[in-house]
Amino acid sequence: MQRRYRSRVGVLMLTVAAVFSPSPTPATDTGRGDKDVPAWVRAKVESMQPTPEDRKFDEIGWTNSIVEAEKLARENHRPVFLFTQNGRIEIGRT
Amino acid sequence: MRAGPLSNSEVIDLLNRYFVPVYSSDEDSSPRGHGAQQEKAAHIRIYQEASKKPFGAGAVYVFILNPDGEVIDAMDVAHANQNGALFGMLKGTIDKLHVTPGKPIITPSTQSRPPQHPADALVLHLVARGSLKAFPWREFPGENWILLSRSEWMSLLPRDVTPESTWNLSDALTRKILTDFYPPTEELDTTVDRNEIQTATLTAKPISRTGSILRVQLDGKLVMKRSFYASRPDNFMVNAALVGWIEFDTARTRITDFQIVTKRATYGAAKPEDFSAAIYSVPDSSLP
Repeated sequence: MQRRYRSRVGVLMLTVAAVFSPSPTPATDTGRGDKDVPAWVRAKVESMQPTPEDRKFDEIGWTNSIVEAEKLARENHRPVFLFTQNGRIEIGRT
Repeated sequence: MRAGPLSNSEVIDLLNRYFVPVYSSDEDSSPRGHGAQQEKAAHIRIYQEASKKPFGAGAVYVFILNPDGEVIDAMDVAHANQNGALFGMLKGTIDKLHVTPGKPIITPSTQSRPPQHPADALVLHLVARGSLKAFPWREFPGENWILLSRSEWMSLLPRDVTPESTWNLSDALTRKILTDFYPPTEELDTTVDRNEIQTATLTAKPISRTGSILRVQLDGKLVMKRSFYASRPDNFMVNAALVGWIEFDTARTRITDFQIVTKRATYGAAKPEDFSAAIYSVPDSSLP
């Protein structure tokens, strides 16, 4: 099943390539898009990236679960610091 | 907390050298949570134990347990956020228990990560930022991770595409891609969808081909109702004009790049705020 699906996908991609540009020219511009869009979008994506200040939270060595934290606390003779909250603090949806 | 004491270098240092730090979401470990039973039982036990002590307990709270698991201190987040309060709490615990400092028990790592996914999934990362100043939900960006299955990302490129082709992405896929385009708002349970999408469109057209690389531009629109607070309905709306592009490698049958950003976007009601959002593909080699 997987092999047949892959070959159908391969035919689709070849169809697109053949219909789109039958000639061996290195680049084809349709003239339909704004030629600055990819660069503009890429620059905006770059500007939106979380900063080191946004990621300070990640400098803490967080354990994966309360159960694991309690186990590690016993083994390492350390207290547990537990912060409970609503939503997903690690992705800022909280 | 995240932008306050949990971003303070001195607090971070204490947590790493003297404690075993852990955070938990109520949507996982509270009695109504969806997490593992053992985890819920641990959270409930801590909550109930703390409730009987002078420092009390709450849903959004900080708890300190000694190495034997006994709750020895707790503080509500409003108090913990006050200048120096959390640092003082941690220092007091260290002194009381005579904790020996050491390296972090768990090596710090990026906490924002996509869910587990098949190798052929397209992993998309979304980042959204509002523009209000001095507002608690604007201290750091909101993020989401969206996975497109192979059949979903393959459907982005229809058969027989020509230079003159124009097509709309499917409604279902468009909604899946755009539903998280909003700045951070209150969340009580991220598994509950309170969005009401009124308009969501993504229209594609080829813009260039270089060898086997086909580049397609996306233009889109999103009009979506989303109340700011989870349990208090309001008339807040997302209004966004979107632009992006997809790069297909037709020789290797894969998407090599996928990016959509807001051109202009507002969120709110009478005086909506400007916001920005971007969604982009992340190759597995770059994932944390």
